[in-house]
Amino acid sequence: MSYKVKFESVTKKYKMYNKQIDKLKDLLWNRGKGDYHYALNKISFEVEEGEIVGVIGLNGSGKSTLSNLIAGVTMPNEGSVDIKGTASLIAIGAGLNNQLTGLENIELKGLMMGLSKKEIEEITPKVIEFAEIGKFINQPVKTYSSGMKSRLGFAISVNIDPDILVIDEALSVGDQTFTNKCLAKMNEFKESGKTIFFISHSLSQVKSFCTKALWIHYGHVKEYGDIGKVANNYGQFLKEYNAMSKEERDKLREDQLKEFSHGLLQV
Amino acid sequence: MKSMKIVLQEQLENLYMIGRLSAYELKKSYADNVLGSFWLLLNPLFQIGVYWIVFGLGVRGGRDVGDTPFVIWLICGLVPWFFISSSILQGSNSVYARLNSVSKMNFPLSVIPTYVIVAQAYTHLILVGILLLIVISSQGLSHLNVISLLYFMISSFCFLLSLSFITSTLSTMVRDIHLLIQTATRMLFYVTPILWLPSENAPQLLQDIFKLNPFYYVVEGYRDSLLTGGWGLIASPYTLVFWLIIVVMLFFGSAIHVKFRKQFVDYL
Repeated sequence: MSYKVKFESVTKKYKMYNKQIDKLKDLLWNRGKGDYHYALNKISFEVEEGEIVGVIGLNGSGKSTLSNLIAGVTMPNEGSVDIKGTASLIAIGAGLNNQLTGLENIELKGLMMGLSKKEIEEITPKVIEFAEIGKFINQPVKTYSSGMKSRLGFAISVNIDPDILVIDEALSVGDQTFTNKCLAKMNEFKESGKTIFFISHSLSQVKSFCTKALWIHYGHVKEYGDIGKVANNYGQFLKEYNAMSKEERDKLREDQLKEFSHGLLQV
Repeated sequence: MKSMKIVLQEQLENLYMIGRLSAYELKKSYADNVLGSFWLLLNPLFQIGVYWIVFGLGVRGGRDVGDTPFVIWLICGLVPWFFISSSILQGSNSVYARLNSVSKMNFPLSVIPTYVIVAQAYTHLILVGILLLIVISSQGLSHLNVISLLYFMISSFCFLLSLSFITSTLSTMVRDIHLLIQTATRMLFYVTPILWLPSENAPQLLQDIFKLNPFYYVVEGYRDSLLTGGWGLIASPYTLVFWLIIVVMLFFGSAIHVKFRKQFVDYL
């Protein structure tokens, strides 16, 4: 079957600067030396259409970097990201302008996503209906509650109808009713053969809804496969991890990184 | 050459987007104030008032410039300068300030400086309209050259746009550049003969150097079109120099824009 998203040994690293002036030197001379933080290190995977991939992992393991790469917001330093179709990223409050009203934000975001005037007119009532904001739609977004902001952001992004949807923790601030509504909408997406990446810390949400899981661990793919197995292993790992003391966690982190770099050497 | 084509193509493909976004830009900048868009006029009015009192009445003692009253001469230079300075400052900050709201989507970043400057151009159009009324009612129609005025409006827009491709890219990556540009703009205001007349007694070389300043070209161009109505400046070799600068800046600006834009988000 054909793939929708393909990562081939993708590396995203950020250089750690101690001084601002080092940044400038780098721009001018393009030095390769220095300390790097590897947000993602040589990860490869393929996702077919119609899949819902739950991306799980600890804080700082590289999940958000992954979502940015899929959405085309940042570029990898090495390797290639191949996306078939348009990707849309939903993160909390992203792309909403606080000074403008909800209605204006719908047009603004639609424009920025490259919709035509007619398409924007078409989706506006749908967005308003889905977001359930009521009369606040004509108020500036800064007066919204965080739930309302995320509802509006989600409503705009799903109605823009992208081929690939990346949801980065955006559902965590909504209440149960809205979460269910979103999940229903995402199921609709699934049926129409679209690909969804679902990034969440709620293992139960991921389990109930995703078809596959991608477990990212300190910038590497720890496990990728059917949801049941991966989620169970991750749940197991979380239990152990939570029971650890701080020293043990640090040690685990170091061990893992060492192990990965060994793996790289052998390859 | 290739990146210049990419940038220009992105502009043409997104004309409707630029139009709408610049309208929002204008709306946003005055949305929080009680007087709203009235500030569009209030702000220049205060500045003109102060410069008139200090330079017109204080320094020149109310003498006319040639046959033109000083106030008229002053506003013919200040109105284009308002456009220039606000476009330089806003243009330089344009990408950095908006990166947060566009960073989560795939958006043609080269459009940002354009719509920011188009928004400034709307304000400018209103001011030019008022300026025309003032000039016509005080000087009459005989010295007005509308075509030349349009030419200078368009060429200053092109100049500011290609300049902002450079400044917006540089000041996104190195924030100090934005501060540097703020300072430079303030100095440019005094280097450019907006408030003062270049002395006839100055050495020829110095006068020639002054005229190479592209902002001198624009400001003098506005004054000529409004007050003397001649074609002298357009026909002069400075036109060639001015457009050459535009092309070089556009070339350099789009090259660095295209080269670095993939990394913009990482610089945030």
